[in-house]
Amino acid sequence: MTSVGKTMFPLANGIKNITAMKARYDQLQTQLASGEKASTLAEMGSDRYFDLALRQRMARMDGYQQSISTVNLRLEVLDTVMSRLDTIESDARAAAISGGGGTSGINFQTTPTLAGSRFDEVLTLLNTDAAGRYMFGGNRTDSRPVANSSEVMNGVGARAGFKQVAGERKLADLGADHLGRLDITRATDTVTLGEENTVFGMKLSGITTTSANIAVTAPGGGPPPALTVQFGTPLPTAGDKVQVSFTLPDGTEEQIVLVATSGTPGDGEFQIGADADATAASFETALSGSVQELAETTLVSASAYAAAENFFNGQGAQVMRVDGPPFDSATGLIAGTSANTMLWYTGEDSADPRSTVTARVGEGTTVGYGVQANEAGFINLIQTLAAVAVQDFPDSDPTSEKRYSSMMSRNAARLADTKDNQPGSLAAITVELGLAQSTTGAIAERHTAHSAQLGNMLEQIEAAPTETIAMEILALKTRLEASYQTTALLSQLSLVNYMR
Amino acid sequence: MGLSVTLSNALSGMRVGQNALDTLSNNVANAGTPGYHRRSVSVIDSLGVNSTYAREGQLSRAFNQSLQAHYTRSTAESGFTSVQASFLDRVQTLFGKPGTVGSIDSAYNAFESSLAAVATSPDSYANRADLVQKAQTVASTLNRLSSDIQSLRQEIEAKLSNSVDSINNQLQSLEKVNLRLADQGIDTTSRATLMDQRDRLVEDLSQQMDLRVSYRGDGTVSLMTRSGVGILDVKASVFSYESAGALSAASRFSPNDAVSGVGKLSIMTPAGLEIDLVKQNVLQSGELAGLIQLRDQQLVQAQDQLDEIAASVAQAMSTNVTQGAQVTSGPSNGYEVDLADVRNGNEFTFKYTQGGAEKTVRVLRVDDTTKLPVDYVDANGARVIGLDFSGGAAGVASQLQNRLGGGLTVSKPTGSTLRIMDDGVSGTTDMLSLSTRTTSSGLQNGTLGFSLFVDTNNADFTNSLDGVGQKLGFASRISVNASIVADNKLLVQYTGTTPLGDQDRLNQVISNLDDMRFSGGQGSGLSDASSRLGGTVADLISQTLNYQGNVAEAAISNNETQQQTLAALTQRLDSEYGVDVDEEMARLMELQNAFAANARVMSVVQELMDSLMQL
Repeated sequence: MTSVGKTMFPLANGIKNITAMKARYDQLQTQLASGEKASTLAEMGSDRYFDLALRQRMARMDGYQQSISTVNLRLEVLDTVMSRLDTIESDARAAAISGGGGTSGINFQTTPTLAGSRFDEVLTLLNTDAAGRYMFGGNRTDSRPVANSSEVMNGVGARAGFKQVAGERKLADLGADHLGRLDITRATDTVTLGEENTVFGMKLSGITTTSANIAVTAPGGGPPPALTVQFGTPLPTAGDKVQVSFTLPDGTEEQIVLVATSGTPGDGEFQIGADADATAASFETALSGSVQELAETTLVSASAYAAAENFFNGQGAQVMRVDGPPFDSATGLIAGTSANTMLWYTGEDSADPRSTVTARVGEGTTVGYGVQANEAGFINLIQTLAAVAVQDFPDSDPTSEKRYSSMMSRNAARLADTKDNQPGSLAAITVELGLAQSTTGAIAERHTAHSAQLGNMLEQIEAAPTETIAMEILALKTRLEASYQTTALLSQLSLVNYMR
Repeated sequence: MGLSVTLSNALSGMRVGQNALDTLSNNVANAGTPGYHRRSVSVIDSLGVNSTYAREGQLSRAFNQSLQAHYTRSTAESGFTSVQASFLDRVQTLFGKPGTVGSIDSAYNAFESSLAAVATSPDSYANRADLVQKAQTVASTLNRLSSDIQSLRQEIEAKLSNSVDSINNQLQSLEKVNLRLADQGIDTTSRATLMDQRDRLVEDLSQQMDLRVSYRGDGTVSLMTRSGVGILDVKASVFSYESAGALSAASRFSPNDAVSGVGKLSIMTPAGLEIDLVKQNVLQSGELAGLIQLRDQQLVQAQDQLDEIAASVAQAMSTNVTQGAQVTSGPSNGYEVDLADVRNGNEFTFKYTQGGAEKTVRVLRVDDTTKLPVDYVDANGARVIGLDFSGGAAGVASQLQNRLGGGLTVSKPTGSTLRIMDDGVSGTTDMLSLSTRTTSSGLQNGTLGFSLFVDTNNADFTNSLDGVGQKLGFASRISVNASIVADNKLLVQYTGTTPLGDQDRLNQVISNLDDMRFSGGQGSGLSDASSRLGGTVADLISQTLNYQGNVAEAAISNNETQQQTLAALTQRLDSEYGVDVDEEMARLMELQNAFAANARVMSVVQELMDSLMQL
């Protein structure tokens, strides 16, 4: 550090130059060995700021690339699960052949069992995790979004499972008298069909007749509303029809047609009696029989689907169950709590599931790839499978066949391909995830290209060009050798050496 | 005229030759002695009673006063540049080359990447742990750099103290040399030796400080600094250095002795006058000035820049920005915002156009009213106003209205809400935005901002101006919040029930790092505008590295130039003062011949005398 020379025989300037050359020689050797132009901040000179900016940019791009590879892994897992779910859906759709009881009702036994195992698989798939991260619970990725299937079906302790809830719903829809919560009364020549004051059971939606002699009034009055059928003179003639329409709990429509006959009435027939009162009495009996049959078959199926819709709640909905006991006279639904009902889904509940999980994959580019098990497509499949899975169709039960065919027709309608266009369907989710994947793919390519460019630029700034350095070393070596030689020669040239 | 004359002439020639040989041998012997000036003997032919004979004249010593003055000045310069270069070189080595392990930019880039990874997988324990570790690396890098810089300052203090001791010794020696030179009875050889010693001492002293040297006729010198403070005139002044003990970032020079946190360098003149060399800015060059400048400026700047980085990275994590709600009243438009969460040191910002020019005003909450008034323009071009918030929103409104004058109307509509309206009808002012930047006050109070980086005792960093200001020395205190180290789920959960997959908190932090712009404060007494930083956290880091690199590069190249100048001068000195052995040898031969000739003359005289006697 000291600038004042205090050594004996201070170095001559020539020697100082040689020292400087030697230092430069060492520096060049370091550059050649490290391949870097500068070894300190100061040596970098005017490139410093540019270098910093490049490094920062590349570090950021590295971060994006890492995010992209993580996201791609997750998207692949999602894709696998989604295609498996799609297969399950089409299998379930294929199994739903209305009226196809098979030889000695073989399908009666296998269909619910198969539905049960598909249900089990669907719930398991929805609990898929990628490296400990659950994929189908929106941003609640740290816990299983869906309870396990046997617990959902059978409940745990005081918490009721779907079987119990569906059973309660069945009781509530059928009513104690199995008339689907309808009341049938007669006063002389008039038969009144009225709803009970309840949300359960069948609802009257209309009545028509082909006879001018039967006076029908459309469902009205109340609440609860009622419809009437009045017979008078002249009496209806044989073949006259009365058609009553019902809305079932799952929203489907069913009709009962009663035909007037002069002989002994069979199924769906009423006898034209001696007078209006007698005819009305026969009509009452026939109506009652038909309603009960409808209730014990189709209504039971519809009830199962309604129970499934209430139990497997969708986005923003609560789990609803029959407010009871008593169930067969229950009038309304009540929200199930986690204390008394098995809540099947415990993940995030957002109206926009895709945005619950996002990844920044580029400057200003974010991809959303969150999926919630309570999106429409998933719950439609789950509800359908669950409704079928809780059924049993014993051969001994005369209602089995009709129940089976009404189950299957609903099953087919719910799983129809046309549903794919609806938002939140499995197909729609798959497409949206596919879009995210193609976005990340395109951006990853861009990053790779950009990174390479930046890397080149950094290389140009930082890398020491080997050829230039080698040349400089060569030149320096020559100069250094020449200087050594000259210095050595000059040191010999002293008068002292020539004195005697 | 006679033989005796010839004999005495020859004798005088031999005596002169003898003396010249003495001097010559002295020259040859000291050819390598540093600070030795070549001597020579002049020969005079004297007229005797009846003869002329040779007699040695004055012993002269090679000396060139103007060259010496130039040299003295140059050594001071090179003392200054070499001490600056060597310390600043160390500073830039501390900061490290970009991209190397331990450099602040690598630590920050790694932190940012880890943040992105956690934002993609907030539920991964490993990712979160990695983020905490990266955050700790950022904090510890800042701590390390900060403590390294302070230990450099400490080293400078020690060096100053050592220098003062040696300066005092040299001054005392010089005082003694002066006294002896003033003695006329001293023989010429000792005189030349004393002068060599004098010049060596002056040379040493001039390396320490910039001197003006007056050479007197009797060979004594008097010394003054270039700024005119007498250091030696017959009697020497005494330098003294009072060390301030351990230095921290907050220990800074102040003209007020009671406040100044650094060592005090002063001089006591023989007349008993004490002068503070730093306060009076007496030293302009030389090692002492270089050291003082490093201690009080360059290293302080480096610390300021680190503090700025620490403050900005802490604030990017902990700041919640709340946009004001738009309000319309008649023709005028404006915004209102709640000031309840604005903590000491926090701010609200509004933008408006006046006559078409867009203006930004940042209003700081300053609880320590001794710091007021605060009103300056920051590195990003925004006007910064400090206000006392103790009077609630109404107090803020009236103070702000006073500062702003007309154009905008500031009011308190209700509670702690502040409203700023433009003039509406005439349209010369238009409000564009109003927002608060507040420091989150808890880790799980539902706000997305969180104090990942904290001050000592896990205290939130709010950038308060109280006392010396929280920012000062923050780089040496910054650490990762202990609660987050203990439970890294807090990186994600902004409420007790936030799902672990939630990305909101991390996304806000990332966008703050990308978009939030910070700017250096008023600059604690620094006049150098180029050292002020402004921009995002990454910008601040790049600017700091670039600045430090530049400063070091400039100092190093400056020093190289100075050393070359000095080398050229030294060469001149060498040729003027140095002993050329060849030249001395040639003279030796001449002297030898002259001696032999004189001897020959004597022997001829002898022969002649003999012949004469035999007659």
